[in-house]
Amino acid sequence: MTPRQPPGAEGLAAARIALNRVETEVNRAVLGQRRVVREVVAALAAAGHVLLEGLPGMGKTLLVRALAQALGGRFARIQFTADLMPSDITGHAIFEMKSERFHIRRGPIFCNVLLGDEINRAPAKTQAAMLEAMQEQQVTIEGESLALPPPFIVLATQNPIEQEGTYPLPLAQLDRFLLKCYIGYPEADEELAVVREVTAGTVGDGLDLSAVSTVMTPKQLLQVQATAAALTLDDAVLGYALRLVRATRDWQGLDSGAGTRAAIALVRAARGHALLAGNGFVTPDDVKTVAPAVLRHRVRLGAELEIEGYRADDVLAEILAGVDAPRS
Amino acid sequence: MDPTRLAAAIRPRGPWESIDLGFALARTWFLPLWLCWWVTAAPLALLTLVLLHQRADLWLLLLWGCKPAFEALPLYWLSRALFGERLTVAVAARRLPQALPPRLWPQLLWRRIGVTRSFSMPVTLLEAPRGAARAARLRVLGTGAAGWLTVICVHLETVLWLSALLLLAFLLPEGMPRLDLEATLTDSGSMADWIGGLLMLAAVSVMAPFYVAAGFALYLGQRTRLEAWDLELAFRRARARPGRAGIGQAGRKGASAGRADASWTHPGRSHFGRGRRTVVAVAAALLLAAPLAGPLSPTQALTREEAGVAIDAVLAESDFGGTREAWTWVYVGDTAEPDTDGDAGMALPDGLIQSLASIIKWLLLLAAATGLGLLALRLLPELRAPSRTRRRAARQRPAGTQSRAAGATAMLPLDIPAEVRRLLGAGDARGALALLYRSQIAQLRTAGLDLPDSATEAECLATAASRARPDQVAWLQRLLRLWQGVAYGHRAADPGAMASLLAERAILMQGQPVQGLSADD
Repeated sequence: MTPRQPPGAEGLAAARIALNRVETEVNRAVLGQRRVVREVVAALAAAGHVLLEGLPGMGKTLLVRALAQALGGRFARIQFTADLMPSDITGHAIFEMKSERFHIRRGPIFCNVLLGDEINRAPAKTQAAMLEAMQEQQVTIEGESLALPPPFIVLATQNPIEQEGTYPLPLAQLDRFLLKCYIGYPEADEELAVVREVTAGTVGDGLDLSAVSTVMTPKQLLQVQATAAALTLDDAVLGYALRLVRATRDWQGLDSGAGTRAAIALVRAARGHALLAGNGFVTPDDVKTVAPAVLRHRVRLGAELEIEGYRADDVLAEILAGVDAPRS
Repeated sequence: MDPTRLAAAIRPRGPWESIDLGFALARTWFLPLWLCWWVTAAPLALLTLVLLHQRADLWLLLLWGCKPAFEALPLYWLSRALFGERLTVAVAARRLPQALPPRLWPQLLWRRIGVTRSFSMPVTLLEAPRGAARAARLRVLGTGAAGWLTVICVHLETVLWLSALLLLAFLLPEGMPRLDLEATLTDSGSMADWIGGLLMLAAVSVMAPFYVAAGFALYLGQRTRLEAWDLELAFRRARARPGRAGIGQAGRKGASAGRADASWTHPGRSHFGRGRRTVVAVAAALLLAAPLAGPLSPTQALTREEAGVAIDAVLAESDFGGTREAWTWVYVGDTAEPDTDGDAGMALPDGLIQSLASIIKWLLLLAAATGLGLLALRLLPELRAPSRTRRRAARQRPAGTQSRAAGATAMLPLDIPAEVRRLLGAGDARGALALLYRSQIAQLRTAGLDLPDSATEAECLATAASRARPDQVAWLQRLLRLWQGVAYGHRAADPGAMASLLAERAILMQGQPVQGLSADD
């Protein structure tokens, strides 16, 4: 594998502007969630999948719909339920009487942006159907491998409090998501603006995406992702990212730390964040900023900490405060 | 005192049986005892409530300290009631000054924390010895199971309090403010704290009659056991019967003999028991003989000699004069002669065995101490997790986690500008900028800013912006931008920018520190 050439100033600026426009468009529809929007756009630049977790009514679906609207391309949504079958996602082969041949009917996964709503409501078998698609960007139906159209981004949502009738995602599935973002309650003034704007002249409670314009094509997104992948990454920053990931394996209170894929994801996400910030290189700040979203679903808290009410973010904050940043 | 109206059988009892008796008495007379407790407690509680209305914990502590004063009246009432004098609560309340111990302060101060208070209170109140006499008296009587009684009652109080608290917390109707159980212990002055305090006072008042009565029963039991008080009371009863003056006199003598016998035999239980049996026999004989002899007039009272003859006659009868042999096994130790021949040559010397035993003993103790130490070392960090995980992690930091930054920060050259120029001259722009960066971090730390080794460039800048002068912040911002471009962006350093940074740094170092920032390192 030959290293990519660092992007030129023009390519860098174009990518940054494109990403910022996407971010701005999404922020038009999703108010009060700027941090999450920025993380999602960074994941977009890094060509990573995102798991959004938040209470009902926090705008998870709206965020994904707005992102799909801003990106253009083909968008599909799957509402995960307990009776959802893998073939409902990937597609299946049907026998066509007219031609007397099996014909493959492609499922909704053949799209550019896939919204997996309440992904933890489907059983493990159905969740596993997405593993191949998320990791290898392809789907196998009746022994035939079908490539998914690039770019392919999965944005899944899940509800953290309703555990009845849910199937928690296994660690292998979680590891496929580049970021896990928490959508929390907005600030009071932002919430006021949300309620005011959504209720003014609106009938019913449909998602209003009229304010969101399509500002990027799938082709442009691929270019942006290539630019992000070519950003300069110094060994000191790489070492810093690796030290963070390795620290999770030795930290007391964690049953299991992050794996090598986490280190890769951390660097990829940091590239996306650096590009969004307009830098032509990755800094420790980029790594540290995305580290909680990259690592929080890849570590498993010990029983003692869970009982005491700690969250993965608490431990990750300790780890981030305990690992030295590069200064030479 | 009317010994014929005793409410409980006075006989030798063990400590636990005495406590049982006390609890039975408390159950029988719970209401008057409980009211007697509140006669003293309620006024004090209300008075102190005015002073400590914002501190439920201090209020409760004060009332807890005054418990000996509250328990005096129930004890007084009980000591009368046991012998047939049932006072009303109103009468008992009027006799409060009489019921309180003659010297109350010692009871409320240094004797308050004694665990045998339940036992010493009857001694203090009913016998009123002072100083050394009191100590000697308590030493003679012992304390029975008074310490355990205190432990039991404290536990019962706690259980009662917690039960009431939980009952209240769980059964509060929906819609009412919830009772914050944690606040009952932590939030002084809160409503929850007051509720907890009142429930604790109620639990203490409920247990008080049991504590007082059990302590009094222990006292009775000890006196009965040591002083043959049961016999004395039996003779008193006999004497109190109409027309039994002669027997009463004989009984008094017998009682005296019995008491002397008990004193003499103390603490040997076997002699004590034999003396008691003798006295009981005599007393029983006299009591049995009395009805047969018919009523005696005071003039027909037996003289000492006549009584002695009568007693001897009774003792000479077969019922009392017989002897009985009983056999039992008693271990008297190994009386066998040591085997001096045979394998005597093979036996180890006693001194060597003792030495070996001593060495093994110390080795075992050392092993136990080491094991405990290792266990503590292993458990303590886990108990402190996760607040101290950072410390442990720092100690066990995996290889590679520690960057070179910390060590480099600690070893800065004395003349930084000269070293920077030397590095620039050698073509090491990254090293020169890193040195400037680290020196600036060190300077900010000296000025009191909290900049851990984990702080990134943006965090350092944000921290500095909160306290440093604007020109210093602007300089640091330019330095960091240049540093990031060279170090992370692999860009060539602009010599002009480097020279400008060094020049401005020299100017900044000459300026007076603002908001805690000191001059150069």
